[in-house]
Amino acid sequence: MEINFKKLKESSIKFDKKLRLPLNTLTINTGDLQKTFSNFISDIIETESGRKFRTTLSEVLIDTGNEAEYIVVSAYYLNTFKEKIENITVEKQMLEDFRGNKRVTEVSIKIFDFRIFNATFKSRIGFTYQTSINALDIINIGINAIRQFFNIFFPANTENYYYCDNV
Amino acid sequence: MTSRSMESEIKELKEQQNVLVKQVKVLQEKIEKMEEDSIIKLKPMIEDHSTYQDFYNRQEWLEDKRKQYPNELLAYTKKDEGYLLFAHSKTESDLLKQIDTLLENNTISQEDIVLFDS
Repeated sequence: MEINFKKLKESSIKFDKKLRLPLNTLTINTGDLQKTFSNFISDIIETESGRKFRTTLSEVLIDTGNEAEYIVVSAYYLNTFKEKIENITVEKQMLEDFRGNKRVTEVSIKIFDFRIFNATFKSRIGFTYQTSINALDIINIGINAIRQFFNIFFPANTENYYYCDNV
Repeated sequence: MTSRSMESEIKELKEQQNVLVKQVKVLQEKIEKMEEDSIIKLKPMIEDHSTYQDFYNRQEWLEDKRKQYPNELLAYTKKDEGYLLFAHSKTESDLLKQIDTLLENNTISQEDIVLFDS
């Protein structure tokens, strides 16, 4: 099946204000291996009464509201990352979003090579503790991590159409 | 016109035809290559097309749920070939309470992967 690019563009419009991509469009290089984030199951999440459930990474978001220079996921995936990708060392940083909300984030010391579509970029990966529940299954790419090579257009008088030029 | 000059003209026309056929072939190859390139340019975006289709189907399903429950948080899981919405709420704490009740009633199990959206 060929990709229906027109449909993809339409979907970018339809999916209000969010540029979402399939999980496997983003890979991470570790040595000679290029790994995806498939089957990235979270640590156990507990409800207030102590009942437990898990979630999983399911999509990539290029987040124009996140000006971080690194990729951000929930801290519930730090152990999975260490197990499936690489046993990394992290340092605490304060991630501040465009609204001024501050979030404690464990950021990798190592800078990884990530690949999205057919372009490679260098970025750290951060594991944040204060993630809203609807972002638990998302890999959030800070806009400054990819600004170097992506052309993102913000047409005048529109809020809901982000079109990413393929590099 | 003598038969010799006619032959010569036919030969010349055939040569011209061959040149034109070659040019057409080259142009066809160029067009094919251009079409191929335009596909290749898109292909690396998503190498596994079934992943893209799954993604697209899920986004369409979610979009429908967002319309049904505007400005609400959604909790769902993958069920068989599709998705099952099992909780929605305007607040995070209420959504977690609903999940709590569903776990308590065994409507969902600890093994079910819970996905979220809004």
